[in-house]
Amino acid sequence: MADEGTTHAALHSMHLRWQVLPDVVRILWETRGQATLAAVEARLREALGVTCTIHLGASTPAAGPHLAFPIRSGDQTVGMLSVEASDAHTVSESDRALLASVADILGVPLSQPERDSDHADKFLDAIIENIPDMIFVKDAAGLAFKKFNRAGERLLGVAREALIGKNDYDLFPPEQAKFFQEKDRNTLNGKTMVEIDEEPIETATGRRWLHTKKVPVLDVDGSPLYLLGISEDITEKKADEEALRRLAALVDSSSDAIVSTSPDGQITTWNLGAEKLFGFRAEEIIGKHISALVPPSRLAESRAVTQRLKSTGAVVPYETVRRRKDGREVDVSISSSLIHDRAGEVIGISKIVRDITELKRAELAVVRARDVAEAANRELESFSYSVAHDLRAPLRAIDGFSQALLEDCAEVLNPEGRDHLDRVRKNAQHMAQLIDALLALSRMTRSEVERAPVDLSAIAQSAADTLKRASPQRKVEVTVQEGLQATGDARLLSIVFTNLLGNAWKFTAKQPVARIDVSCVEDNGRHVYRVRDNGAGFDMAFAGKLFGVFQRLHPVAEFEGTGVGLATVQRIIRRHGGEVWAQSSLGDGATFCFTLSETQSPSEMTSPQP
Amino acid sequence: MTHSAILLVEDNPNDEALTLRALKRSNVANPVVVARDGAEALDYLFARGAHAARERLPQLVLLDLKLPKIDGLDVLKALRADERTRLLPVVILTSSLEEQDLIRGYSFGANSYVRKPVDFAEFVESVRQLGMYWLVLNEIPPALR
Repeated sequence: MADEGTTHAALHSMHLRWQVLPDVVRILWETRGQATLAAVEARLREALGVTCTIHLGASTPAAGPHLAFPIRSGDQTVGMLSVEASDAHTVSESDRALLASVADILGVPLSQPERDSDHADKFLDAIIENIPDMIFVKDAAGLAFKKFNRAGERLLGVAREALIGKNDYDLFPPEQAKFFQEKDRNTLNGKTMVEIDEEPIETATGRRWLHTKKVPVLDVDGSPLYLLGISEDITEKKADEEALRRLAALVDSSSDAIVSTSPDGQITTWNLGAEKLFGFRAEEIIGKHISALVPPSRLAESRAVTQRLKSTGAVVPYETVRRRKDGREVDVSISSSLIHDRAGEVIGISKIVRDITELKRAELAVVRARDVAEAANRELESFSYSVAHDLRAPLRAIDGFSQALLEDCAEVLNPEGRDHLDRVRKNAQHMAQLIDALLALSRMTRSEVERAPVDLSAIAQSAADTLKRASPQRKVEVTVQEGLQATGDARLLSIVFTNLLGNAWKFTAKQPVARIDVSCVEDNGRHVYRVRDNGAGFDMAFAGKLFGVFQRLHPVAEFEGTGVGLATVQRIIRRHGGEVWAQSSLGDGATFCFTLSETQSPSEMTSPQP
Repeated sequence: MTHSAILLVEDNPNDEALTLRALKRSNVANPVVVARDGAEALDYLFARGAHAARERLPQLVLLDLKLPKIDGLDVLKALRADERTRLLPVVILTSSLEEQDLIRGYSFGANSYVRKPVDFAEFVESVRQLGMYWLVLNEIPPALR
């Protein structure tokens, strides 16, 4: 190649320029032979009858069509005779004839042009073939593929044989083919390069994204001959960019301050959240040291955290105080992590700083509310203490002195008088029961709900056994389903079953064969526990009143009771996060159902109910 | 034989009358001394002030909890802290069934805890059983004889 280059330079050392007007034709005679310029000029003048000058100098690269013949002397190429046309002129047969006559004039033999281009074409093809971007050529008329390189085959997943001669409609979905051809036409009609920054293309391995440049190849008349396309596969780059953009959007839209620093603490990035939290704009703070945000009292802590982060690679988020531009201090929570490059070197530190002022305020409010609730609870406790103590004392006096009257003055009391006193006593005793029931309800409400696995079958069975022992004369068939397991407070759930079974027991008193059964059914994925009886039942119209304190659906004379039992049941079930309800029709038994929350928040379990 | 007294510490005159009536109906022969507040109870137990002339310790103390001046539990604490009354049988007789009262009553050294029932018949029965147990069945330590 170097030798050729040298030869080439030598060949270009002499120019013979001949112009034919109006269209410019340049005849170049290049030689390293011995002929003198003057002799050549004289011969041309004599032969062609025109004045011509021989121009000596460096060759300019040919701009238009070009026809060249080597001038040979024996085996050696001693020069080159060529015709060069301007853009508007094609090399024609007459040019060829002209050249031949010039050669004749010059007395140099003209050999057939050497197909130099064969070698150059191969070289060019090899380059095109190996360029890692897709390169294709389409003919301007039908936009069918003429040429296609390896990168293109690889990209589309199709061999060139399947592409050459086809157009976009043969290869791609109509929408895409339409788009490609529109761009092709724009390129060819506009005769300028068209750049398509991003275009999708369906390939054998799915959709890829291309960055394409389309270049018109025109003939000397300026009519489009070919369309040259160069497409870079930007699918991965695009995905990376999108991921980056998404990340950037996240960082931008975050209400937390997201800040990164160099390993030694110079601030390198600063998001909108940081601007809001600290009051510094990015351009004011980037490049400053992160300690500009740390109040003096926290500098040691901040340094220690950075030290720990660098030595262990991680620190847990911690709560601290930072200083704003205006000097105001804010409560924040900070998570820090190291930023590594691909090689694993630490290239920075990222920090997410959250303003927890509101959180702190809310925490304080919770503490205050708890204090208030606890104070109210203590008050309630002392209130129920006095209820227990002070309300019972007068009742005891009423009952006791009525009894004393009955005993001491029996002879002056007629039956009616004794009946009155009996009623006084009965009522005093009933009121005492009511007080006890209310106290139990209040105690139950105040006590904490302890959550543990409980055997509801055993609890129900034990409540039933207690009832049987208390009234052995009753004939009641009690069935308890085996293996009822739940999570809750065993003591409180035992009160639930004592009340529900107690009710069932009481309201079946008038049945010849009393039946009570305890079971569990699944309903919408939750466990529903049921206590069913075949007793007196109740009118569903009054079901809403069932669970109110002192609400009764039956006259005391018919079924005794305090009217607190179901209220107690409801409170216990609610404190377990469950529900309780009842179904019945008068005279046809009743079913009491309840659920227990299976996933309960701790607050639900322990907060005292008003 | 003269019986030692029962000290009834009770501020409510109704309860006092009813308790006395119940004791009488239970055929308890011991004399009953009534202290109407905690301070008076301690004066009697430690034979001081108005009760300086008190000869023998009572055989049993029936102690209400809610009392004027000195609370029942404080009376209990004081008499358990004193060598002379350390072993004296004390039955808390009260309206309260609060868990706290029960726990504190026993932890301060009460021998029994009985809730006064509203039903007078039950009350008489309670007092009868108390009398039977503490005055008849129960053996007291020699120091108190």
